[in-house]
Amino acid sequence: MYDYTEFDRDFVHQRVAEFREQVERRIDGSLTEAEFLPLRLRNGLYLQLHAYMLRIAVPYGTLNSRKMRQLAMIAERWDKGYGHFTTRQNIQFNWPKLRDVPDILEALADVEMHSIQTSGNCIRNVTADHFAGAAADEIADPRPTAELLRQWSTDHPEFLYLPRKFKIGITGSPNDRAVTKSHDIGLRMLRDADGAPGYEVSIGGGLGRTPMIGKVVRGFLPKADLLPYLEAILQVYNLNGRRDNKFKAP
Amino acid sequence: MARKFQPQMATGNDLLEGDVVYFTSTGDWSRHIGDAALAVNPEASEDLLKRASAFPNQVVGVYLVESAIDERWRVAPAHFRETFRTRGPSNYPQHGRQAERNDV
Repeated sequence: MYDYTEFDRDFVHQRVAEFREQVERRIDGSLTEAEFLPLRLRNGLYLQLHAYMLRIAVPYGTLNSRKMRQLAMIAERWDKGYGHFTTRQNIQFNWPKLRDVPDILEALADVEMHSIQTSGNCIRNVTADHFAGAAADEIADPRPTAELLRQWSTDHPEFLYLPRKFKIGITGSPNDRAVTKSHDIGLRMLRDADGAPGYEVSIGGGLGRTPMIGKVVRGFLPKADLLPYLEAILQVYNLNGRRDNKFKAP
Repeated sequence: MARKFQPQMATGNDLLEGDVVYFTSTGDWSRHIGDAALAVNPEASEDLLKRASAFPNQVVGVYLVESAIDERWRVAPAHFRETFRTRGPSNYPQHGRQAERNDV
């Protein structure tokens, strides 16, 4: 599991301070709802049917006990004593109050967690096999690659305003428990005939109202080429993905 | 043939709590659908929406919903989506307003 550097800690706490000020400005009326909407979505805060919902990133589904206990504290102190883990391995609180959200984000930052890129048309949390690192059928542990992708995609200036939200899933096993072909980019870890590590890359998968199974675009991609290859896919999507109709964007 | 007009009410979500609220005949907002003001013709609906939209820093996403009368002669939403909003999530009866009261 990645440990924050001093830069990371400052960055996340600064984001919380920024959002705290934005919430205050919304409550005192200096920001309209139209102005506030993109700001709260940048911090994972939705207004849904019954209440606000805060989605928190759990990178490739990994938590330690300190983080888990902090999530429990948040649920008990500011929500209704529970949260929902999502199919993409994040966690959502379904009843937060607007005024409490900055405090919740501060409590998350204290344990190296945040809600950045859990909403909006950006690269979302990378999903991995929930048995990663412990599966008997694993060719390799997918979590180092997932962490590499997390660092590469977090606050990537070129990919923060994509035509639509963008999801990446990775598995290190032939039994695809991460359902990689339901992702915009699906990665399956492989080894070539010489035993060198790489990936099978599929694109175009998705769920939602028009589910699609991803198509394989590269049978074997050497490990060293991963980031340039993904960057090229994202660049094509960024240029050619439809922005006029979100249901046709994928 | 034109669809028959159904009485309408104005609803939205409270800015601070996120809670579902209804615009009342006294010009404020209530958590109880029974307090909702009803507009009985298109002109009254237009006026209701205009008056309900005058609270941008109190209520978010104001819109009109069609109403009906339920089996106990109470005002109720005509659409199931709005019925869920009066109760809470349909998958967990112990969550949301339905956990707080049993008269919805």
